[in-house]
Amino acid sequence: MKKFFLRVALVIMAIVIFQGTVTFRAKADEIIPYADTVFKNASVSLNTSGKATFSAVTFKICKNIKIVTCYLQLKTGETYQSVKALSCPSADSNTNDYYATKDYSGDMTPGHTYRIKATFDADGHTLTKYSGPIDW
Amino acid sequence: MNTETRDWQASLAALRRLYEAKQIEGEALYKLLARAYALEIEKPPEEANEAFLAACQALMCETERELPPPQVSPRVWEGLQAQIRARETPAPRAWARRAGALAASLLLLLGGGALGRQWLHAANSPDGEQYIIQGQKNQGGSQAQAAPGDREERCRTDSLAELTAFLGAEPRLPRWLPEGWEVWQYNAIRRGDEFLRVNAAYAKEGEENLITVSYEWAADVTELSMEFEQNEPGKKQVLANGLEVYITYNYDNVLIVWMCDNVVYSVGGPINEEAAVRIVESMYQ
Repeated sequence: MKKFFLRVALVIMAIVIFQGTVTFRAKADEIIPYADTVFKNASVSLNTSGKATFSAVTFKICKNIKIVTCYLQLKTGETYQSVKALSCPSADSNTNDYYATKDYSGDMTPGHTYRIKATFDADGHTLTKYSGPIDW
Repeated sequence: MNTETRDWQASLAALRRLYEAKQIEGEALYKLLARAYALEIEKPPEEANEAFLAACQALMCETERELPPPQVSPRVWEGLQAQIRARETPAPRAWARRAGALAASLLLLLGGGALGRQWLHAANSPDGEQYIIQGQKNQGGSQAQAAPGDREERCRTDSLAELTAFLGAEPRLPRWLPEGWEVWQYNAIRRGDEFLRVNAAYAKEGEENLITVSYEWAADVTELSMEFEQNEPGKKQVLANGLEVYITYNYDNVLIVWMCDNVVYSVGGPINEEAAVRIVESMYQ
């Protein structure tokens, strides 16, 4: 009798696990947009003079758009590592358009390849972008 | 007469023949010549080719009498360039391509390849989540740097007249919007003759999202770098006016991106594709 109940319990468990898997797969198969609900476009670029440009346009009127973190990343082999936290450009308010430039030439050492990692923040909604690399 | 002199004289003569044969319109020729003129006049006075400037200016006066000839004054030149940019036509035609090739060779000769060796490259990111536009140039091209005096000027307003006064010419913005949408804010940033960015935001009562119309221009296209967010890779489409655009979606917002010369344009918002296309087309009316 115990074996019978054990089997029933195992079957029920198997059904529960199977259903869970199906549900999970069904959710995973849903089309999940990877786009961004707030940002129309955002980018950071770094030119060969060491000047970085941060620009973004949002679909919403934002009380505040700013760069919350900005890192200088050094290329080591095929990967990049953050080597310095950079000062962020100033914020902008009551707008949907953000544009700022900042000179980071003094933060880089000659003979290396760098890029910038910056996180945009529009009223608490964040989006991280990377600049293209430059040889300094 | 050295080879370089013969080259620019031959290029100008060829452009003049195209104009006289009515294969290129005066306004288009003026635009091409103005670019070459701008590149030459930006050089230090001792390096600028005065003979070319004079010949170029003379031909410009012949082709477009409505516009004043370029002056050395940066203020006048800025306004003139803005007018030229505002008059750009999107549809490439045979004569335009031919004249463009001629002008490019002229510019290559005079400006060290500032135009001939730079271009805008557009592609989807490997995961398809962004449509990325990046200005590129060959190794030989010199990096155009903003002169120390080229300070950044900004304008934020909800008045088209104020924006137009700031730019020195009417900006390329929609002449049609879906019902209920009104200007919320204009933003413009200008740095001498090197960079221009215009963004117009339109709002509608009861609608959370904005319609945004933006464009960005840089003399050195490597300054242009944009990543447009999208659900998945979009499609390319040629509009009724001949403009080739890229259409995609960012959640429920339609997004249209296109490039014309060194300018990247975009229109996006919570409207349908048909309305977005109509907005784009109205910008060229």
